[in-house]
Amino acid sequence: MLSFVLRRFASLVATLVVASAVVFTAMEVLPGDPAQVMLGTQAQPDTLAALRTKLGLDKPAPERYVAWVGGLVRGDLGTSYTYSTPVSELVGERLQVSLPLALLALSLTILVAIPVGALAAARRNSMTDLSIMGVTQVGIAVPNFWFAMLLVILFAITLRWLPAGGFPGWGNGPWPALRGLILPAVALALPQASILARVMRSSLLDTLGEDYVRTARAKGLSEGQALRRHALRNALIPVLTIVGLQFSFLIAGTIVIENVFYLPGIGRLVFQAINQRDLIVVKSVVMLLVASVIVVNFLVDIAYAIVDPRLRRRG
Amino acid sequence: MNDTALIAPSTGFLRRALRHPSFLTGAVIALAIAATAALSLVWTPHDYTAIDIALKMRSPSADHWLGTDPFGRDTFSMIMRGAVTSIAVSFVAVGIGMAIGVPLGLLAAARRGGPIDHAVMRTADFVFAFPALLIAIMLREVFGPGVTNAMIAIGIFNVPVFARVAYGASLPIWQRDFIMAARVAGKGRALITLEHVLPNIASVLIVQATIQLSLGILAEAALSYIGLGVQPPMPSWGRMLNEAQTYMAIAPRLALAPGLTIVATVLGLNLLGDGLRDLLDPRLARER
Repeated sequence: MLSFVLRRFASLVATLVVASAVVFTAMEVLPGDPAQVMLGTQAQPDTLAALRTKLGLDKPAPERYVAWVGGLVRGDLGTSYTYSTPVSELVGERLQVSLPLALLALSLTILVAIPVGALAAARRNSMTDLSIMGVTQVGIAVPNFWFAMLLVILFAITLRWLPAGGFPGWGNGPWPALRGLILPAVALALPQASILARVMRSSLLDTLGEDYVRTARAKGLSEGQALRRHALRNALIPVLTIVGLQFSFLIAGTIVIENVFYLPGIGRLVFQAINQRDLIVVKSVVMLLVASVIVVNFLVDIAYAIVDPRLRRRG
Repeated sequence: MNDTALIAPSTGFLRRALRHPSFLTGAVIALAIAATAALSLVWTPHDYTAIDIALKMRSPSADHWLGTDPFGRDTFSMIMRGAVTSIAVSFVAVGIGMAIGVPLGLLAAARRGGPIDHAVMRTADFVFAFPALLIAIMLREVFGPGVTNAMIAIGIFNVPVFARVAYGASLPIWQRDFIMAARVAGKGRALITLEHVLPNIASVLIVQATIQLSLGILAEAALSYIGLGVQPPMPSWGRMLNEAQTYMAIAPRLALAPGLTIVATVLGLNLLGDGLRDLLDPRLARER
C-alpha cells in the first residue's frame, strides 16, 4: 500500500509540474506581451517598459517560470495588478465563498443521488424507476446557469424566500450567509446529481447480478437485506470515481454560477480578472483550480485503492 | 457482436430503430433542430440582428411568435439562428476531438504496454484536469473571445475523451481471432488498425460523438453566457440567457425560450445517443 501511495504521489508531483508549465506557456508565452495585454494598445512605451520591469518580463521565460513556481510553492501567488493586493490574500477571501458553495453542492449531489439511484435499482423497471430515469435524463440536459435563473425567478423574485444574489459574508452569523448559498448550490447540484444517480443505479444493478449477492439470497436474506448488506457498499466504488471526475465540472460550474448570483467567490474573481486583463490573477487562479482537480483525483485514486486492494498492483 | 451488421446497417437495423422509443424521439428532435438551423441560413421571420427600440419587449404575437427582446430583436429568429451557432461550435469541437483523439487512442492500443501507450494515456488523463472553461480562459488572449475560442477550448476537452474511448474499445478487438489471422497473413499494425480495428469501433465512436455533441452544446451555451464564447451580433442561446438575466423580474419569458431550446436539443441528442448504443451494441444495452 505504501509503495502504491508513493508511486501515485510521485506521479502527482510530475503532473503538477507539467500542468504549471502548460498554464505558464498558455498565459505568458503564446499571446505575446502580458504588459501590452494589461495596458491595452494605447499604452505609452515608457509605461509599458515600466510595467515589464515590474512584472519581470525583461527576464527570459524559463527564469520567470521558475520564479513563478517557486512563489506558488511558498504560497506567494504574486501581486494583483488591478487590486494591488497579494493574489494569495484575494484567493483566501474568495475561498470563504467558493469552498462552502462547492462543499454544499457536492454534499447535496451525493445525498440526493445515492438514495435515488439505489431506489431506482431496487425497483427496476417499475414506475418509480421509470420516473427517476426520466427526471434524471432531463436533469442532465439542463444547463446549471439556466436552472439557476429559474430558481431565482421562482424563489427570489416571485416567492421572496431567498436572496436573488449577493453574499452578506460570514460576519453576520452563518444563517444569512448560508441563505445566499442555497440556490447556487441547488443549481450546481441538479445536473451532477442526475448523472450520479444514473451511475449509482447501473452500478447497483451490476453488483446485484454478482455471485456473492446470489449466495446471500440463497442463505435466506431477502432481496432488500442482500442489497443493503452486500450490494450497496460494492456499488459505491464506481460512484466514487465519478464523484472525482465530477469535481472538475463542479469547478467550472462554480465559476459560471457565481456569476449568475454575483457571489464574490473564486469564479467571480477569475472572471473579473479576465475582463480587467489582470493576467497575474488569472494565471495563478487557473493554476490553483487545475491543481485542485489533480489533487482531488489523486485522493480518489488512493481512496479507491483502500476500498479495492486489487487496484494497488497497477499504478 | 455481428461485425457486418455494424458497418452496413441492414433493414433489420432500421426496423428495430423505428421501434426504439428513445432513438426515435432523439432522432426527431435532432433532425428538427438541424432543419431549423439550415432554414435560418436562408430564412428567418425577421432579421435576427435588426435592432428597433420602438419594438422592444413586445409580448408574443402573430408577428413576433416569441416576442422581442430589450433591443426590439425578434426572439424566435434569434433562437433559429442560434441553432447554427450551437451546431457549428459543437460539431467543430467534436471534429477536433475525433481528429486528434481517435488516432492517438488507436495508436496507444496498437502499441499496448509500450512507451507510446503510456505516454498517450497519461497525457489524456492530464488533459482531463483542464475543464473546457479553464482552457477557454487561458486561450482567450490567443484567439480573443469568440466562436474560435469556444470551438478550440471544447475541442481540446474532447480530445482525451475520444482517445480513451478509442483505446478502450480497441483493446478487446486486438484479442480477437481475425486480428491474429491478419497478423499471420503478414499485415502490419497500421494496416490492421485501419482495416479491422477502426470499422469495429466505429459504432462506439458514433455513440460517443453524439454524447460529446450534446456536452458541446451545453459548454458553448455556458461560455457564451459568461462572455467567453460567441460575440454579438451573432445570436447564441447562451448569450440570449445572459441578456435575459437583467430582465428576469420584468420579462422571465426572455429566459424561458432559449433555456427550453437548449434542454430540448441536449435531451434529444442524449436520447439519440442512448438509442444508438442500444441498437449498435446490444451487449451494453441489457441492464441499462
